[in-house]
Amino acid sequence: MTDPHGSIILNFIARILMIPFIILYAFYVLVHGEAGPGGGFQAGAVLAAAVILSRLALGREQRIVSTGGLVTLAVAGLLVYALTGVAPMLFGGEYLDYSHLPVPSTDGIVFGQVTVRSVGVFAIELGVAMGVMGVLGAMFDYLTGAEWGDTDAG
Amino acid sequence: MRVLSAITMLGFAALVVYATSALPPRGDPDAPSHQYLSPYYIERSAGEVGTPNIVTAVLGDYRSYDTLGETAVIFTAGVALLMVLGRGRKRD
Repeated sequence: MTDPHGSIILNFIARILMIPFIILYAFYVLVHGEAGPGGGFQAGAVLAAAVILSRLALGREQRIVSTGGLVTLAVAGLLVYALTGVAPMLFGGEYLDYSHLPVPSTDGIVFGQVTVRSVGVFAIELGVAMGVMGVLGAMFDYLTGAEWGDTDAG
Repeated sequence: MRVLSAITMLGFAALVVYATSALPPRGDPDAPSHQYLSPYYIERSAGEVGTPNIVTAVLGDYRSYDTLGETAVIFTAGVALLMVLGRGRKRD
């Protein structure tokens, strides 16, 4: 499974068409979670799909992220969430009280319709997405028994 | 031992099914959670949180402790799996 198939059609479709679109769609799901269906868990699952597809189709030639990178991403995701909760405490709020986040705003509005609380919600959604993507991708790597090294330059 | 655990599991399953029969029917407008909780979120989330999606507002703001716990659960499950599957693996 770690060997690339070598099919130029498979490589082209996976690398040029599918994976960038899946990643773009995942970010759409993440950002659109503010306004409609979507959110961190869903975006993380879609991002993990892109990671797994790249490993299945491209084998060792995949250049998205290494196994260690996925584990780091999972840890960083939980940290982003927890630190988003700590940040308001440094500015006089309570844990996870986003309205005290140090975001420049007037009357609680950052720009347009976006309130400071929405910024906090987006920050934790980002952390959730990173965590879910890292956990799912690392689980795939460990289940397939393949260690994916650091990505080559290219 | 195996029979004992099977009986215990069946007992818990029966308990869950029995408890479920006391829940209000799905979509019942007279359910307790629709008496004050849902209207509260629908009326106030736009003003208090500012996120247009009420589900996201509840998940990310009103119940952010719960979501933090969920993320920690997923992370812990993943780390536990990696520890089990990674046993005997060479470290370089």
